[in-house]
Amino acid sequence: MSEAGRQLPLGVSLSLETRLEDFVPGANQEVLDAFRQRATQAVPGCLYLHGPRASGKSHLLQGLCRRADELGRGASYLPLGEQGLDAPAVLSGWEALDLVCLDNLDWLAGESAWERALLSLYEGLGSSGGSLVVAARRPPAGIGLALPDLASRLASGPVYQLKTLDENGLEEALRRRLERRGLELPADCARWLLRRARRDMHSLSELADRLDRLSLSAQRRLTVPFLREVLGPLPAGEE
Amino acid sequence: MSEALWQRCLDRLGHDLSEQELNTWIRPLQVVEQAEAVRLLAPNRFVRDWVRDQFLDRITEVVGEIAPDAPTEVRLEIGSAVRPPRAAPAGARRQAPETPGRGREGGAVMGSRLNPDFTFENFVEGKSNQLARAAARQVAENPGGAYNPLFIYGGVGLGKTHLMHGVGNRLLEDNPRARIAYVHSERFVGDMVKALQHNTINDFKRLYRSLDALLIDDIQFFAGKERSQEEFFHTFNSLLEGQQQVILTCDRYPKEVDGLEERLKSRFGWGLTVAIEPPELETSVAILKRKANEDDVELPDEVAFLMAQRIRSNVRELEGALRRVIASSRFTGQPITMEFTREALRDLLALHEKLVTVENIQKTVAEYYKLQVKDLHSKRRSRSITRPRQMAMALAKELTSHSLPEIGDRFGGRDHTTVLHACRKVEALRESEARINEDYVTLLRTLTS
Repeated sequence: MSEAGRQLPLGVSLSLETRLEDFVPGANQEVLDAFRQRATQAVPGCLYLHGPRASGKSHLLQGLCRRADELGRGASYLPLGEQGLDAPAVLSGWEALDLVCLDNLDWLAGESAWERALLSLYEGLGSSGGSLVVAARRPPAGIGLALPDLASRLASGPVYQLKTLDENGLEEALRRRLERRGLELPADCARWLLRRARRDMHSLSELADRLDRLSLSAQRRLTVPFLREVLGPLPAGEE
Repeated sequence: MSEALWQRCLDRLGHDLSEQELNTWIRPLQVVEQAEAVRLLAPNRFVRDWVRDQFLDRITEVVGEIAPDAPTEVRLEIGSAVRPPRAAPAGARRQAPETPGRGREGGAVMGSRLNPDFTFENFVEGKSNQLARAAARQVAENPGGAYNPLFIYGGVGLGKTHLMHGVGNRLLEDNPRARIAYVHSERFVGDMVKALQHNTINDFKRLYRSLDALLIDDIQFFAGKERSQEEFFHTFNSLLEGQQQVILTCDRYPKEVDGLEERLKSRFGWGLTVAIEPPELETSVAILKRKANEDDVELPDEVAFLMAQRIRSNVRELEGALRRVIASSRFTGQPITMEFTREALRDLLALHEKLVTVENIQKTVAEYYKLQVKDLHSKRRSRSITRPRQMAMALAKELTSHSLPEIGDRFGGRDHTTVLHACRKVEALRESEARINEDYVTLLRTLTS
């Protein structure tokens, strides 16, 4: 039985990986701690997070935002370059918030008007005691910012690198994703899946979504035979 | 509509919208209690328009469901209000922690925006900044006097802003009623544009011209903005005439700022113009030790030297690196050692190392002097080539870990004594010729920032 040709439930990914408590830290416990601190306390200045694509940066930023909001603090999450967030003036007026989280900072690097708008936001938040948290793929000096003033300011606070998860961490990340969707992940299934899944956080979320749909549609729990049936066998010799 | 009711609306909206939509568009909205309508404040027109187009119908529905007695009209406006701490319903929410010192602006009332952490007492003096510091102290003691305006220029992250706030804080200390404002020039421009849009330009003018001291940071950002320059020109004149103090900072000497009106450049030079240069190694080390001490952290000398040697670009980034090391040490409970520091700053140090290669130095120096890299390798001995070649050799010795023979080898197979001579020559010229020193400092900054 393959996924194609079956009646599947309407799939709506609700971007469930957005809580700090669902973040699997692995070697990033210190980073998670710094984010928890920013959620609960007024920490002025900038925190800069960098790491490769789909390493969990957006999860941390959104989790921070959500947690701060739960605590009654004004917070926003701005994924740069996304629809509605594609003009520099969109960065104005956020100074009244306690916390502004900017994702995908690489997107604006080298764009003079955007960089100046961000510099202005940085200064505005600085004056009002607000906190800025930014995420990019590389450290401040490595993303190609044209304004040295901005690069220097973004590097003025702690700069954290997000490290990738090891095998245990990946298994835990997949397990939590499935638990959020009401699915249990037996250890043999986890091993089977991790031998074939892409090992980044986006792919794990997509995999969890897919397994959720398949399990619901077939009304079956996750077992290796079921996984083999719906996802197909691994290439010869790998299983 | 009360904040608590709006919170229930948000919870309900959470069923329909993605977490990202909530975090980006909905949660940052502020609700304002009003009898005739539910007013929602958006930070800018982009957010207002997007929310109106994408979510307003659903918001209106939800408001009707959650609060049937609330007004049916939901108004989206641009603005911000002081955010009250929310009540905590049934264990789900806690009271927001107090945020001391969290200043807010409203209408035409402007806070000083001074950072109390930047004082003269915690400004570490060295050869590179002692003149600027002395001038700033003079101004703090005699505001509106001979040094008006005080113009401080130099590269990014070298302490210009610190000194400026230092003056402001001292003035406030001496006279708590003094009206002092620190503003970044981008912010000045932004506030002015807003004032023009909202027809409050006269309030804006009155506000700025009534100050006892105006501190404007990074005035190079005025370049090319004619209307802002015009307004600033009049504000500047008005303050100077009233013997109110003006302090300006810039990343370069006033006359070198392209796109700035001549009359402004000329007026900026009426008072005192002082430079601030990248700190010498010893000053950087002293800054690190001082900052660590303020945080009750014992920073070993060898670690301070390691950081100061490897992060040469500016003090701001050096302090950022120190914050990172201290945070890691506190988190792990480990003492700050050489190995610990290398690990904590691994990515940062790697990046700095990666950028500074002999080839990169040659390319940067050649571009700076409008030469080709092959000229630096050549046997030609005219001064127009010899001087840049010596400069590049001196920088290679300063910024890389290559031996002198290795450096000589990369400059067309020259002997190590030639490199040594070049380094000594550049050192002597930096002492005797300001222009050479300026070239060196600029190149050093370019290569390490």
